[in-house]
Amino acid sequence: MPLSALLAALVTCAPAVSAADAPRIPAAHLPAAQQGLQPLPGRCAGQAGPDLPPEGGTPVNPADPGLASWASYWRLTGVHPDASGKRLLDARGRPVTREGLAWLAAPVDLSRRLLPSNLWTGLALQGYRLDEATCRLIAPSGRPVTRADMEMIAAENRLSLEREALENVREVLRGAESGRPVPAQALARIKALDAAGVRLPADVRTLLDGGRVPTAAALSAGVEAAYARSTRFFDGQSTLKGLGEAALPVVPGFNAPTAPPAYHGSEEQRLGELLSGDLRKIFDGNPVSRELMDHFRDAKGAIHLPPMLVLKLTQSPDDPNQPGAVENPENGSLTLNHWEVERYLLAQLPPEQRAGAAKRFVDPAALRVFLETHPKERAAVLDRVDEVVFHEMVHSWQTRRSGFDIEMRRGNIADANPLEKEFEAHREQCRYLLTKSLRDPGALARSGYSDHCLDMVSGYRGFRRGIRDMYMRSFAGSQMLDDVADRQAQRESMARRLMGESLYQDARQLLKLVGMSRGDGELSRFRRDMAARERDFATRTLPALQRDLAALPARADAGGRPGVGLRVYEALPDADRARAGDALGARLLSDALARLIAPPPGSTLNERLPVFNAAAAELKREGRGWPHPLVAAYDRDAATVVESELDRADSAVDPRARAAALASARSWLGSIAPDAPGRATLAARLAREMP
Amino acid sequence: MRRVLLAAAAASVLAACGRARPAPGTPVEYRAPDGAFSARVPAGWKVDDAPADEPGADFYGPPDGPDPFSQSMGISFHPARAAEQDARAFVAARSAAGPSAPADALDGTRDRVIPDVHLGSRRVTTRTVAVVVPGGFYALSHDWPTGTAPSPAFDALVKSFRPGPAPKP
Repeated sequence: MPLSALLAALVTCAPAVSAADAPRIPAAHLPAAQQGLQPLPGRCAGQAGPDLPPEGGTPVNPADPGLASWASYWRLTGVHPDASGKRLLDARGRPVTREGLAWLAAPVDLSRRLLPSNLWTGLALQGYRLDEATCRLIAPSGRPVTRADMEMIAAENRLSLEREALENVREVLRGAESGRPVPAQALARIKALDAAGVRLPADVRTLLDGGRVPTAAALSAGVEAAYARSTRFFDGQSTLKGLGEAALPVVPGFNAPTAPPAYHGSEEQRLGELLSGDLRKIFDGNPVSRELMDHFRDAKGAIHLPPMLVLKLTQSPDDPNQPGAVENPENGSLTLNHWEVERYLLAQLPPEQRAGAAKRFVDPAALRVFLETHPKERAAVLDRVDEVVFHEMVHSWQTRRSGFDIEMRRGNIADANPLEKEFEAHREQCRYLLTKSLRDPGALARSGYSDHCLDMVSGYRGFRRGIRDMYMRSFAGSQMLDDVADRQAQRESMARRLMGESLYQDARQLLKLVGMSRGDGELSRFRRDMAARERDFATRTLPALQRDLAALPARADAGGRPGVGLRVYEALPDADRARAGDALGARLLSDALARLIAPPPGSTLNERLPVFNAAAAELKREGRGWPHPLVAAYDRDAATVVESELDRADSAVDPRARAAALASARSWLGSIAPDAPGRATLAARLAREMP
Repeated sequence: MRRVLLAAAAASVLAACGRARPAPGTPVEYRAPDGAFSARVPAGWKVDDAPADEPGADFYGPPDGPDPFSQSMGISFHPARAAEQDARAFVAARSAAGPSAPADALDGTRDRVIPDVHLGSRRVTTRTVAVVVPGGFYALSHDWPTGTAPSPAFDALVKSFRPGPAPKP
């Protein structure tokens, strides 16, 4: 699968709300609080930039035979001869010089260049590795990646996004009346893609910049021509032989897509095997994970967990788009994010050891050796990341159980990460956590996903909407299987259109259509399968889980965790709450309030914060106001959060992370009573920090 | 079932009275496939009324503007014997009114974090309004990114919401 397709398969203003409308308690989730020291970014986090080409120089002659090796670069990045044919110009019209080519041919320096998170993750999954000593990126072949290589990768990624954008716009325009102005929805989609850096075809851009809203017919012609060009470009990436193989059913050893190796080096494999062994022990203790592991049995019944890696999945530790883990659909491996693993490791260490460890762990080799030689700490980290590993294993099972992904890799289905896959991974991940909590209520208190999973207990429809909402907001255009089918139809209609152009195109497009009809079949089967699984979950599995969870509040209270009990009690549907007992609510509230007001030893801020929300809900339900000691306890904890968020802003490398930390600090500060002790000092500090 | 409300609504408007297609943002009538309720939703919002645990529908929008598809609204039915009391409990569990904010028993707002293994965490503000009907209550909810302005479409949806006969769960 080309990188662009892998990236597609990965996940990748108005005035503020008035104070009167704002909730008093901000969302109870603190990535930085209680985690100890944050990881250090190290030299290779792109902070020493910018990485600029030399100014001026000697223009190159297009006729120079020594330039033949640059042909792919010219084609992908838009380098072209000028009108005289004696000079080469880049896409911005600047002359290409010998000095510029020498700079492009040199290895990319990642101390000076910050890569987008999805590109970095995609490269890591393709086997590219960072050389921490030189800040070079090393290709799977062992060769350093040059600046020119990097530009070509980025250009191919842009072209892939452009193709997807054109498919979306073409679909919207298809329903528009040709003589009328383009629907605002289509224009907004095109402008949003423009803002996201997708290179728009020149004629589409001219129409948009024209100051008048073009008619659907005028825009359709430009989009149609651009889409035909895009299709020809991607057609040019494949041979007739390749298309012929993709048109046939998959025969292992003949035309099955080759997968890159999961591990690059024996060190990665050694750690991966240790992690798999530890994980197996954790998963053996939970019926939901045992059920999942059953899907990974071989013909003799032995379980083989997917290969596991620990890699930096973003270049910088505080990139706001930080994944916890990813599954590689090409080889089924699961990769944990180095930064996430490091956070949990640092939190376990005694405070006096954290600074030194953070310096060492910038280098993944040091982190790997530590994990290999400290089985207790390794097991403790896995106990914290088991939910994300479980989530990724669900994806791995999705890849195994249907032909959808394999046909996508063969080019027979439009590249996508369907949201239905995420719905299933999220709900199964929550089922795992909630089942784990039945035995160990503390698991719910420790998990960063607990509120999210309790939302699922409250109702699947709202839970699903939250996930879909988040992805639609984060990824230009939704990726439901219906949308994939729409884009697939666009590809098929363009293939039919191109068929008439020549005999060669006839053969090429016919093979594509045969392959895509195979893809259509898998897509259709996959849609039916995912819909059936979702229906089964909503109507059978979730009600059973809700019934089981009705026993948890009393159990948590008896085990000294009334806060957990109260949170579950508040989330249960009415019938299940009634099963738990009405008197229980009052007892849980009373016990939880006592622990919020006077926290016992070992009580953590991250455990208490969501309990304030549950207590507020129960008090509201009983029609009671907050007792004064609870207000004081809230102000105390919220002030700690403000301080922690201000510290996080101070240490942030990424300006987006700093802005998010400051916004969070402001939100928490706004929830503290005006006369609370220490509030004025925090407000003054925030005022100094805010831009 | 997934569709764009513009197309569905426009088709019915055009067929019914031959008027022009409504501009995006113009409220159009959405009627649940089983006739359980109706409400006005801006044209162009995506509708998802696929069956789930609770009968209802979800809407995603706005389709244009600086932040397209950044908000969503949902309508879901919850059967209950003590409908008024259960509706209050439902909203209470979805509110975080805090020590001094006024409490409206059937209208609550809270912040929440939606964590994702791939995308990191996103902060969302959710407002929930309960409408009590015989046999249960409807929950009308609205999610928008914390710190941004909520779309006025939700107030219009609440105002125009008309329940029909109680649906079968």
